[in-house]
Amino acid sequence: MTRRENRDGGKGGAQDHAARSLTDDLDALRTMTSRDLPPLASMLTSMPVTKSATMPATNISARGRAPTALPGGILMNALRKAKMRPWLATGLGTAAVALVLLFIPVSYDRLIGSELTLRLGSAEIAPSALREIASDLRTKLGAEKIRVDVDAAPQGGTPNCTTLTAEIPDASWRRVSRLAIEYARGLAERGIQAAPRVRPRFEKAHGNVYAAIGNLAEIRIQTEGKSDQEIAAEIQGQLSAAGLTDATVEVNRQDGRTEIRIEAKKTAIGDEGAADGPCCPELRITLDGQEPGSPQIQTQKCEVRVQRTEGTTDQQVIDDVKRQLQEQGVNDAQVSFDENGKIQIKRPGQ
Amino acid sequence: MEPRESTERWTRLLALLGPVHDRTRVTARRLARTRADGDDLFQEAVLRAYTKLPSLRDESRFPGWFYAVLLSVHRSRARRAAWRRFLSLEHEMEHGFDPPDAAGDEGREERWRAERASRALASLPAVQREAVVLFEVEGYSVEEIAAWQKASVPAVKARLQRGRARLRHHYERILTRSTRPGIIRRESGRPIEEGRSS
Repeated sequence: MTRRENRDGGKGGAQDHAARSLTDDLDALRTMTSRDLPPLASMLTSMPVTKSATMPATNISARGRAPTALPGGILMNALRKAKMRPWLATGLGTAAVALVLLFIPVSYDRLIGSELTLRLGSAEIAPSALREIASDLRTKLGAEKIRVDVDAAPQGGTPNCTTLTAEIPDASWRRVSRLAIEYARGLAERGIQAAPRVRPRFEKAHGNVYAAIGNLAEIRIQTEGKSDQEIAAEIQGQLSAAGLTDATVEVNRQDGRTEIRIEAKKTAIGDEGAADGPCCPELRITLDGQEPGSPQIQTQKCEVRVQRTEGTTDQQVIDDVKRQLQEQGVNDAQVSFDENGKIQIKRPGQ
Repeated sequence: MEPRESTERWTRLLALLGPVHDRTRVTARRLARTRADGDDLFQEAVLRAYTKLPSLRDESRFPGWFYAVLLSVHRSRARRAAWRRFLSLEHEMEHGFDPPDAAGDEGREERWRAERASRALASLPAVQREAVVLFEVEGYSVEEIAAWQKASVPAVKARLQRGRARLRHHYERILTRSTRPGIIRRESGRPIEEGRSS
């Protein structure tokens, strides 16, 4: 017998064995399922419809239910129907949960900026140099609330170390770190050794789950008794807390109408901006207690992405921005570059 | 509907169901994965038959009509089961056809074989399972099955052919796995005596 015959024979044997087993098993199934059949009457007594069908008419009418209806109230019937349509039930359930999450306030830690600690070398630093460094931190990193700590000098000698701690509203830990390292290098060139350390700053916040996730920035404004500049500053503060640190805000109030213009920009380097997701969180603005969506509040949001690579001309960028604005329904915008190379987008009357 | 009308309808259904009760209930058990599931399937079919009874004009055609209802309910349940298998623990909790030790060693072997057949049938799509059970196990003709399944005769033949092929493949697979050295026959679930390898 050749090897091929052997193999074929083995396969044929397995098939025969499988066919025999299948036949035997189906015979066993035939026998087993025929055993212990309950009489029809015993099954019917356990069926709910039997009870309602044989129920006296007076009882049925007293309950106000059709005799063919299955027992149970509205809730039970709804549950029964939901079980018949599991996908619909899941969808409705998810929608209900999402709706509930909109209203349930949760407490969470919100990222509000970064804290930069700049530890200067052991050499004594002149107060004028410290003032200069603090000024640099303000201008280059946008630092606020700068604190200077000097380690106590042992036995009245020179202090061991000077530490500057600054609060920076920029929530981008990576960007602040990069700027801080660059600045520390600059200090080293001037003969001042500095070790920067950046940590995120959080504050306790209360809001719905979507705000907690970070895709929603809740801006709540009370205009009463405040000037336009004060309102703009308040909005700017809330925007910075939501991570939009370089937003510009303009507030104009005329004839009982308040117009707020928020312009936020995010700069991406390299592949950072390649993702298709939204560049900024969704803004939810509540003005004087008027919730978004109420007829008193009209909002318009435009998002423009500018990708500039080597060789791209200003005109190409302008055309691209105009196209994106037109796609979002803004046809009358004037786009230009100012003397600093920044893109200006204006609409007639603004 | 008036209560009297409801009772009359129910009495009529009982009278019609009596002669076919045993064979239709057995079919329901064979279509389902377990005996309990089969009994549930039968009860649901009876409920649907009760609702649809006014549409039955010729009472002499009740057996075929009820089989069509049973198969329709079976397919609805199969669709629901596809969803339920992600949620339910019943697969883990089922006890098969008979309580243990009900029929001695011989009965145990038979029960094991029946469970294996049920598992294999459960792996088929609902329409193929119906065709195989009704033709191979129950012995109905292709024409009868076609009428109950509301399908053409060639369609039923194709379902039978595909169902048989899948069953054979299933058996070849589990038998090959169970005879491979070093593999314990977990799939078949057959009790193995100590010291025996097959």
